[in-house]
Amino acid sequence: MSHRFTAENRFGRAGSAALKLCAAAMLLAIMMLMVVDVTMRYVFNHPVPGAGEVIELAMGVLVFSALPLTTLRREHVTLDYFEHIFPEGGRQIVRALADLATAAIIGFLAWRLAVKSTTYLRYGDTTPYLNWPIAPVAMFVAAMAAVTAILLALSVLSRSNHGGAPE
Amino acid sequence: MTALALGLVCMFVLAAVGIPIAFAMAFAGFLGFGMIVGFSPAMAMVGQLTFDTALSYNLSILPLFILMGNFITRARLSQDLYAAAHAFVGHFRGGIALSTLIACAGFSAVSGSSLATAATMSRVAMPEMRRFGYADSLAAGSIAAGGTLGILIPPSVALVLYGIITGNDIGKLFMAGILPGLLGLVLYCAAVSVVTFRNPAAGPRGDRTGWGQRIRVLGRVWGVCLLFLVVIGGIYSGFFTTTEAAGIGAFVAAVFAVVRGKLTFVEMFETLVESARMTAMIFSILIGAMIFANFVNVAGLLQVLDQALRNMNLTPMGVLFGVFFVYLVLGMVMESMSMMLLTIPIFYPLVIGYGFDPIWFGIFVVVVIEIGLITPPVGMNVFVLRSTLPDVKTSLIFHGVMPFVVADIIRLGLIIALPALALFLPGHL
Repeated sequence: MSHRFTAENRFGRAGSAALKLCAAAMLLAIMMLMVVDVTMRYVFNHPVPGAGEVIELAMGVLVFSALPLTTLRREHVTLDYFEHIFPEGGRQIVRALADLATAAIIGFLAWRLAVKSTTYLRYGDTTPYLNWPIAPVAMFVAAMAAVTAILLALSVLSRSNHGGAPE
Repeated sequence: MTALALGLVCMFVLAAVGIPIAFAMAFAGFLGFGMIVGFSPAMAMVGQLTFDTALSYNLSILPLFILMGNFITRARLSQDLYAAAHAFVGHFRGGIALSTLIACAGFSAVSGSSLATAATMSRVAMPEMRRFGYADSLAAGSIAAGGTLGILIPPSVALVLYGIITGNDIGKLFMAGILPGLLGLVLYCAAVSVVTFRNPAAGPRGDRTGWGQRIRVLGRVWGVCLLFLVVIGGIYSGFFTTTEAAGIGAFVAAVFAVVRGKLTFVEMFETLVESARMTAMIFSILIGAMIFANFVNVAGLLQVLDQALRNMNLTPMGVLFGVFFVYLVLGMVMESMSMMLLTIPIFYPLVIGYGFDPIWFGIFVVVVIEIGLITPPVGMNVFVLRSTLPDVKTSLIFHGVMPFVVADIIRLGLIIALPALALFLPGHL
């Protein structure tokens, strides 16, 4: 399966590189933070203060910076068992409609996440120990869901413009 | 009742036309929840639940165990694991198949992926078994079945998911998986012995290895032993939590891969990205399944099912058999992870209500799902093998897998008859 970014240009590639870098950095950070935390606890009897909170925020960034990559590479689990009930020609259309419906669902989710993140912003919610604000991470999560929905929808449209070449 | 039916139908229709299961469950769950409780609380629920799930310290166990498995896969130790197993059991009748099973069990336990195991081990073990003149059915069957062995042997992502959904202690679930997991390996080896006893030509003996060589090849798989020791020992002794064990395990696996010279900087980056993508995939299903579970709860599916079961006057065993049957049917069309996340919220309270142990039921479910991975028509492992071994017919692989399915069913029977198999170790945690 190849990368299918709608804007198959420098912009698309830079964006995907940035997302990859972000996701990889978060995962590496979570792992290292845990190793350091356990080591500090046993060797120096002094765990890293607030490590758990940082990991929580990093988890949100990790999952949602990877969501566009996963979704555009069509790596979500699907029930492809029933695909053969559609005739060859109709299959393309069904797949395009399914992708558009998926984009709509993710878009709806993005909207709900955006609404929720504005309440985090309004109440100035922070993590309990380090007092780091939650809203920026929440907004990033909502933005990434929106990006996923938009790119997925665009990828369907660009595919149909290119004569509906299958993957 | 109409909302319940509508939600269920909506979920299956959306999934059947090709919408990812995660989003089919999320949408159907939202719709059903909205129809029963109201759309304003439903909208609030969706946002809250997504944030709670994504921004969770405890759930970091998932990306970390995935990362550990991917590092191990990158360390390319399938060859060494196989060589180590072969040095010890290769000279028995059917010895190459036995070595394959042992190597598969070790590899899939630490890599956490039965598909990756079937794919990599087929490249290592298949040429070897052909060289010794093994029947293709036995050779391919043992690779496809061997890949499923690790699902139960900790660290197990399937048990982590079960623990998350049901709120059970993941450390206890890991301990409970050890004996049934090893029992699976023993029974699989017995299945090979039975096949080669009836037809010795299907699996001739390999070469005998001297003790010096045995020690040497064992030295090359120290990483797997260390990982196992660190993760399981650390949890069992209470040295660190299950989540921390995942972080430490991923770190040790990375160090192991680097020391073996199999992990460049670029590969390290790729492994991290690949693990992040798998994380996004699993979290999508997790969030979707939780939204759907919320709907199922408010819709009263449990009460309906429970009432129906009570009216049927089933014994607890009858209920268990029903659950088994549902998994067999669902396993024909669904992939194991989404099947588990979809069904556990429904079956778990029911089965627990009939007096079964929560930890024990986790082991039961995973064994049943394991069987689904190698039985037709959708045996994922078999299909993976088919793509790496294009010259072996699917029907032949399914034929070769049958003795192992029988072994799995015997194991399931033993776990039901002797719950202590699962519950003995966690009782000491």
